[in-house]
Amino acid sequence: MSLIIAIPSKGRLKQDTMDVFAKAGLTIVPPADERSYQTTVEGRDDIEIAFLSASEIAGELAAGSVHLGVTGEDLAREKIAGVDEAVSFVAPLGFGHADVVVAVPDAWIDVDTMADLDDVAAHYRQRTGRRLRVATKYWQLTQNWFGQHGIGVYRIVESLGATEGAPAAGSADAIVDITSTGSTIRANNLKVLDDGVILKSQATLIESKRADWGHAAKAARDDVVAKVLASLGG
Amino acid sequence: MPLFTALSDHLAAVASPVDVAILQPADPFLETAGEDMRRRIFITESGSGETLCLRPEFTIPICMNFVASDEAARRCSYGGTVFRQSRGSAAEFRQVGMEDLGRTDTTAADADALRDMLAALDAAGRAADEVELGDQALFAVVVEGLGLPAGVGDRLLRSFGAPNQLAALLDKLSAATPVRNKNDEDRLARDGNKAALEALVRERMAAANLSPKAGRSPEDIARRMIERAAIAGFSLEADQLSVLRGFLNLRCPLGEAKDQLSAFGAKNNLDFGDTLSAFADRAAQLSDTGTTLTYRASLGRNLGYYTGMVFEASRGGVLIGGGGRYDGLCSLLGADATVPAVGFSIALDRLEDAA
Repeated sequence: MSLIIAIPSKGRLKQDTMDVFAKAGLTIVPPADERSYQTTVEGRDDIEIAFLSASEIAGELAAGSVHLGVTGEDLAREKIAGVDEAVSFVAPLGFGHADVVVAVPDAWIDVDTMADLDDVAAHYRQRTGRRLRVATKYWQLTQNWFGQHGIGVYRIVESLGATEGAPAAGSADAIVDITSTGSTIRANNLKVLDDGVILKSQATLIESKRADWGHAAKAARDDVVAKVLASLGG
Repeated sequence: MPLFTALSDHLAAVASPVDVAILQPADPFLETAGEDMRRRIFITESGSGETLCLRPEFTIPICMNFVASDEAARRCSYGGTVFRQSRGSAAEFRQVGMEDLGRTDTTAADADALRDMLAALDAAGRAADEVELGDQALFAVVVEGLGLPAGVGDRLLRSFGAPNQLAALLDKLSAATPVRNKNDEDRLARDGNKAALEALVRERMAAANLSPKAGRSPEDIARRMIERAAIAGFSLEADQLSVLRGFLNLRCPLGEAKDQLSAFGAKNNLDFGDTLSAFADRAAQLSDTGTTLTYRASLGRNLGYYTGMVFEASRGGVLIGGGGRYDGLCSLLGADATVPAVGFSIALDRLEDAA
């Protein structure tokens, strides 16, 4: 059985991933048909490439239907329950940088840390009987992080569109979102808490622990990983 | 007789049995028990988009029903399957329990709740061999007695019942709280200039299109800013820390707790006053249960609406049931006034393990 590698199907992530693989001597053949989501690596009949969306890749890695995949560490940690039992993070690839952060309105001059947020959440509930609302697409990461900081008095509201607009829209008080430069956060009159960086994420080569690791797949995997690591080192 | 029947029959005789629907609106559980609850309940959706869940417990629906009624008091028992996602143990198990709502003689209500639980276990042939009892109200007296600045005491009370969190907080408070001296607002806060801070917050809210009426108000923010500046540089002194730690380490037979607490108070210049009298009354009413009752000062439940006594019963080292006073819950569920409330629950899966 050949080694199946899932790579992002669109945009910068796709291009940067193909570049990293090419630099490692693994040239991904453009699919014969533009609408096809499967292709191969030049001269390697032991490898199959599957183009998938970045969040699908996390799901397929968790299910074990692909052996290796390239996606953001943020997505893997968010989408995969019991992430460390399901996958291992083989190598950060040096692109697709994004931090998952806790941000509050910059009008909250009295909040700079998670401890401040804890106080504020508790007071708010005492005064209004309601919980502070945190808009996010990152339920798991938010729950873990707030739990680690002993903050129980809040509610997550699901954010479907632009999370950073939630406070101004009145649908949340604070947010957990990704940012690469912080400019969108600042443009929305929000500020990242001093200790509010939950995860410094980047595109990462991830290995599924649940995939069917036959002899051939394992051999191809060792070769691919060695080549990618070597190219990153150089 | 099966355990479940034995327990529910026994409880039905002391408190009227009530039915609770298995399918419940999820929101009240999330609002009261918090986000942590979300990962533990089974959530589903109705055709019209309402978020529902399989009941993870009985107390919240029973209290909601009570709040919606016009009764002044209700004492009821329940029994049935509850559903929780938890790694490594069953997702559904049966629970029986009792809730005593609206009874103003709280000392007697507390003692009765614990006695009823012990008697039910006894009747089912699974008597508890040890019960630990704690009381958050005593910790509140200790914290208040130390005369800590506003904000610090609240933080300590909020962490009560969560040992790791409380230990981390004590460590943190033994070091100086950071002094912030970055910008204008820090200076205004040190000067206690509330009007200027409020104006500044209003300006920023306007720039961000935040409504000053929704969410946190400019007044709230300015007040807390000043409060935070007032505790800049604060740290717990060694003797305050040793009083807190000394209190949290108290553990003794319940019958000796009154004397131990009095002695602790006298030594540390704390007056437990009426709180200790009520505690002692309750302990006296529990003196003949035939079970080993132990007072453990650090025992509490870190849920925000538990306010006083908490107890945990075990058999052969397995925790089989517990309960406590939760006077804060009914107001969170919409009651106009505080409703005194106490109750307990027994987990059948644990009880079966504790044969």
